[in-house]
Amino acid sequence: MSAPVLHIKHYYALAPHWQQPMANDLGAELIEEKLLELPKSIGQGGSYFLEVIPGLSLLLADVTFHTPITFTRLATTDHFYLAYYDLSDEISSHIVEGTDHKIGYRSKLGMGFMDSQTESTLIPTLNERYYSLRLFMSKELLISLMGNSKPQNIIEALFDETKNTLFFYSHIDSSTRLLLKELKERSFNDPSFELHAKGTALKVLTHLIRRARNFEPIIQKLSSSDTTAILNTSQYLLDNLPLDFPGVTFLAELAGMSESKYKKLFTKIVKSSPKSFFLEEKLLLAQNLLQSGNFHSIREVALEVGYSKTGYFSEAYKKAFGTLPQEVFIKTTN
Amino acid sequence: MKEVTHEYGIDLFWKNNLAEQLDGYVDGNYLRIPQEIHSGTRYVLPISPFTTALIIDVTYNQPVTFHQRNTKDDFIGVYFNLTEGEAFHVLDEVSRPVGRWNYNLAIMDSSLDADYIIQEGSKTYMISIFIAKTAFKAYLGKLPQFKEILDEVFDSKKNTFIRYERMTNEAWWLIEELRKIDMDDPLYDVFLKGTVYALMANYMDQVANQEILIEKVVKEDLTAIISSQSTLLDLITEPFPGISSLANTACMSETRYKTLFKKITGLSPNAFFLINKLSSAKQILENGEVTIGEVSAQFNFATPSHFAELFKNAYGVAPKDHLSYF
Repeated sequence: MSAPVLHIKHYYALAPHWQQPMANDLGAELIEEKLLELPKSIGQGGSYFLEVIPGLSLLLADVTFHTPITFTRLATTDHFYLAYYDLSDEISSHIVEGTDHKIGYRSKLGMGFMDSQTESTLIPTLNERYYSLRLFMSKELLISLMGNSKPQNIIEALFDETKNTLFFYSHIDSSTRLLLKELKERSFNDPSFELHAKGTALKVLTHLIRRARNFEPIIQKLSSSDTTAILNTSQYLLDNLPLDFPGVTFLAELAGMSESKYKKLFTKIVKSSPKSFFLEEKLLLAQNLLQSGNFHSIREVALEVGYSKTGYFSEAYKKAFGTLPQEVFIKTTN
Repeated sequence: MKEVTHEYGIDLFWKNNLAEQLDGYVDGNYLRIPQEIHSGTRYVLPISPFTTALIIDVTYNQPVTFHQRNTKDDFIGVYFNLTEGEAFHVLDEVSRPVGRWNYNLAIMDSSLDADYIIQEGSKTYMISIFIAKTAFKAYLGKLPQFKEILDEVFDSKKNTFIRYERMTNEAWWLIEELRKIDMDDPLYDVFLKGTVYALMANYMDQVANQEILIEKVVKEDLTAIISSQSTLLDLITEPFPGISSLANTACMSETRYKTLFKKITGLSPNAFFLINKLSSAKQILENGEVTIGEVSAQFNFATPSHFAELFKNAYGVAPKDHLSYF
């Protein structure tokens, strides 16, 4: 019999007061309003919360859960924005015995940005280190940092919640990944941890804003069912990277939307069209497989990700990464 | 020659005076200084209620003498200084240069006066961080070796914060990254704050391995030690002059001389002398045309094999093997 799933409903805020109710529900210890330590029965580790500058707070979670748990973040009336960076949620691959494809892989988007007024659910993997950074940002701070990247009326419309929902999913950019990997090496108890964490959060914020400035503004309200439907199709694409692109007609049907609405919302949330997203992800998986040391030839990798002609594969790969597959390929030693 | 008497602080009351002394004015976060004095920017940003940062990115167009005379003794200045060339000189009572400031990181108690001259043509990039002693105390209190002596360390009757040293590679990279950011972008302030926290974190990691010497220091002591270092560098080919003669020149007891030297530089006078001797000898060897025996004699080492042994201890390779890489 499996253990009953613990379901924690909580909310976040820019100020530290949200932590105590969550600590109570988890039976966790809250130290100095910043360090939350889980009871051993639930997991190893905890979270670390800091107010960094006015309008910016950070929450780091470093936990290995031992018991099944689900977190639901409730919508708040207190209005701010959240950015998630989950280091654990990126591409990973492993050898699978006895199937058509010898490689099993998991691909997820490790970064998300959303309004605190939308609800979300997290189900962490058991017995695996879950390491993630969340930034809580006030609307005023974000608007002030957009600079002259877009006309002022567009910026205002983007942040006007009666006209637009800010929401997107993506991979973690490489500068941010590097910063998070460095922070991950440190314990919450390091004397310099607080300073390192603040420095990291501020730099991650600058990377986030730089990306956001380049996004094509698509001003549209999102319902939570629309959002879920789009994310389901993007996960469908991620789960089927070795196949051919299934086509927008099929995906729109899967999402229960018209094709034009589907394409618009997909681009708003994922920042690429469905087809280019699929091809980019396919090549990212290929990059991962090329460097995995599990293949005898580039042709094998090309076939694995659904290219029947190695030449086409190499050309697409070079276009995406600027290097040819053979420059990064690590041949299997078996 | 421009003479500037100024002060710093966590609150920004000093900005106007410093700008005026340099014939300039305050413009938001910037101090605008005329080209005759220096080109480039001076930029002040409060980081938190306990911390303020000053960025100096300038080329001096005339020599400027700075007399730092703080009226507040409630903060510590941490100065990351990437000045190019032999530009920074420490002055004595009658404003004579007594030695070059050959470090790139200084931690100084705001109660300590300091006089510097910066030469014409020198390029300075410096991040100064002013941290409230209360905040500094909270951070250092987390380090095990500070726990027991924390109150004594922060008792201004007993102790003065002063340390000249080299910044870590990580700190250097953090500063290089900041230098690439456009100062007119609103993101600059966010990135600068991030850099300041990262530099403070990096400094905490650096200080975690250091020995703490509790001692009161005044400006004359600092001048005497820098002057003494200069003397040692001038005598670099000679044998070590001995503590008693050095202490005598610095007008201090031997014990106090040794303590202050170590407190300020992290090294004993002997170790400082040896490290610099070996480094000079290494440079001459690398230039070629001399033998190990000749260099050993030139720098007054007892024997070439003694020199080789000290060299190997310092750099991990014997001088002969080191040369074969060239």
